[in-house]
Amino acid sequence: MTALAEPDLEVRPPEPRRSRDFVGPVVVFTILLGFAGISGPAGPVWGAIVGALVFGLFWWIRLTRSIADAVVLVIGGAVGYSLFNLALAARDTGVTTAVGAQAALGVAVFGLAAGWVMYRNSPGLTPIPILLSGAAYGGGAYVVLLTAVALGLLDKIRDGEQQELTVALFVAVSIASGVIGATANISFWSKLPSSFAVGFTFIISVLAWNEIGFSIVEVFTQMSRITEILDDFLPPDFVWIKSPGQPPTFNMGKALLETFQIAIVGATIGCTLAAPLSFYASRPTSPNRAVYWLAKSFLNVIRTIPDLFWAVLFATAVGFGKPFAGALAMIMFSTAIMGKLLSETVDAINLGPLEAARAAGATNNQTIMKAAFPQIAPNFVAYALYVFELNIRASVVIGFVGAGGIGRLLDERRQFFQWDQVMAIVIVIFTAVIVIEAISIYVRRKLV
Amino acid sequence: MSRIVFTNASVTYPGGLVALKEVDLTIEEGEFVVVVGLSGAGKSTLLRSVNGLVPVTGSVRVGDREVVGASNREIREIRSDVGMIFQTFNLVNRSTVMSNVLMGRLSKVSRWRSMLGVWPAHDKEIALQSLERVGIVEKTYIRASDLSGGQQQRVGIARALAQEPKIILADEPVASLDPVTSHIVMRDLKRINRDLGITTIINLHFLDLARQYGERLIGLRDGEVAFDGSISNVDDDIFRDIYGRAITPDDLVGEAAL
Repeated sequence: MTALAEPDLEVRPPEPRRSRDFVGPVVVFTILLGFAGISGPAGPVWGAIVGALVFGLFWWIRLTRSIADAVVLVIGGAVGYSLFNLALAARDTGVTTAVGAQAALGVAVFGLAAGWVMYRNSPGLTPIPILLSGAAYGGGAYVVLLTAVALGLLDKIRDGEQQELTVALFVAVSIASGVIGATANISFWSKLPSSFAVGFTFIISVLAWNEIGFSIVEVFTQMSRITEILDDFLPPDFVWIKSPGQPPTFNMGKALLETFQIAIVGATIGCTLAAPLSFYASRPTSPNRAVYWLAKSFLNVIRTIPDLFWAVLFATAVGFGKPFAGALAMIMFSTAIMGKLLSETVDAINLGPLEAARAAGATNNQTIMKAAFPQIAPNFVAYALYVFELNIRASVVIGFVGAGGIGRLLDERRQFFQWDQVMAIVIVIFTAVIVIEAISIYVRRKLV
Repeated sequence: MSRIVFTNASVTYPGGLVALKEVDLTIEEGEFVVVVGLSGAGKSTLLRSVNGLVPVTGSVRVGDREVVGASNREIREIRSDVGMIFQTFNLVNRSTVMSNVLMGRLSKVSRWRSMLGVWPAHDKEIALQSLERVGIVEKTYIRASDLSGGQQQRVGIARALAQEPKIILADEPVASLDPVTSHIVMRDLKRINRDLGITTIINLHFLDLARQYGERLIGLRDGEVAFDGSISNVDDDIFRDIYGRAITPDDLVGEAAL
């Protein structure tokens, strides 16, 4: 303790360093490792860069600003990544658990380096959690890689056509190991199951990635086509905004108005229907068990049905391309959303006033109106505005399947390949949605 | 008319907890009864069995009506004559004092009028009179959450009075209040009992308040009546018997009067 030290620092205990500070560096490390798997500088150089980046992160969170720590991290990154890279090379000669072990060793080396820096700069830590976390980094990596071997993922990588799979796998490895490592500081064994869960989730998403044929490479190779597309789309043809005397199909202004009308009708009627349903679907405000289950199941069922289905259904029922169909679809959509939002709010109301109303001899509906509804009224209005916003967006989409509005116009222009007109419509929709959102957010803020 | 008779009344909660065990009690019209006992002794349950807020068996007669086995409509009729005051006031914080007090009129006016908030002038007048009786009529159109604790409890009392009740049940009405406000509220309740002849049952856990304001004292212990008699006959030994332990300063509110 030097003479210059501030006395306050002794009195106030320092804020304990949180273990999750560990996760950030490791995630960065991993993602970079993954991309390095595709192409890039040689192994040790990449590792050193990663180490430097992690040091940058530590510097940023004010964990350390010492040169010695920077050197440790750079060397740790270089050595750790080299080992990892060697493991990658080994996969060409055959996928074994040894591959996983070697890769895990690389992760562990970097984990120890980062852990040592953590230890040096966190007064509360003892060396044992650092060693444990280094080991855990390696252990986590090993577990994930073993799982990958068991699922045959590494075999797919060997085919050489799934570069992205490699990337994703490395992301999975390091995030899982990072989580295990980070949590090791608190209680290694108690956090182990959750770390397994994280690793497993990533493995599953890697599989899904593979199945849907996702490819980063293709995103870049197809980019060259974008100039052709832009030629078609630009400049937008705004003549369509105003064609006086024309039906909505030929008049963008009218079509947009129709979309608004659909959204307003849907939100108003939907929210009005949802309010009593939400109260009946909540235990304290439900008149009896039967009504409770009925209302609750009704809300659950309509929530699972997508708005597009309602649009198709009503378009078939009342006529293709009619805004009435759209309004009916939006009513169902609004009821579902409002029901969900509102019933969660109703579940959390203060029950005291309800008891008071009942004790005064009120009926259940009186209790709802006088003791429960005033408690949620501001939320109700805010949700209603939000539902209206959603309706605007949704009613554009359902126009595609024959529910009227500007979506229908968009679909038609698209079928005629009139991309400049499509572009104009998109811009108009974009502007309208932004404006409505801004107004709605403003009003909602005023309500609270 | 507003006599309350418990005969073999028991309350068992859905979880299996027996909160009230075969209680026999008679409370005469116009009485001012204080109920004491440790928390969990069944004080709140005893009150709530009068207006059917708890699942009671045996028999509880309020006036000429039976609570046990009453239909929803009958229960509402009983409740409309029984005002209730709560420890946590149970006001709708966002609503005005007026609309909180008008909740006491819900059972008296047509359902649709009350739900739409179109109150008859007669009912509004009763609400205003109730507020005058507790001395906060100037706060009528203020949001309930903007009042102090003591003022909120007086709104709670006004809400009960707006029912024009024959019976008032007060469940720990002063437990959330400071000593000075506690005395004000207790005096309000006492005055209402005297002036209007409303049968009043109050749960308290402050023994000095019970002694100062009570006339008849009922002591509950483990859901059974451990004492029932005039407050003037109660000494520390009896309290000790009800509480099952010695009296401590925590059992007293202090600051005897204003």
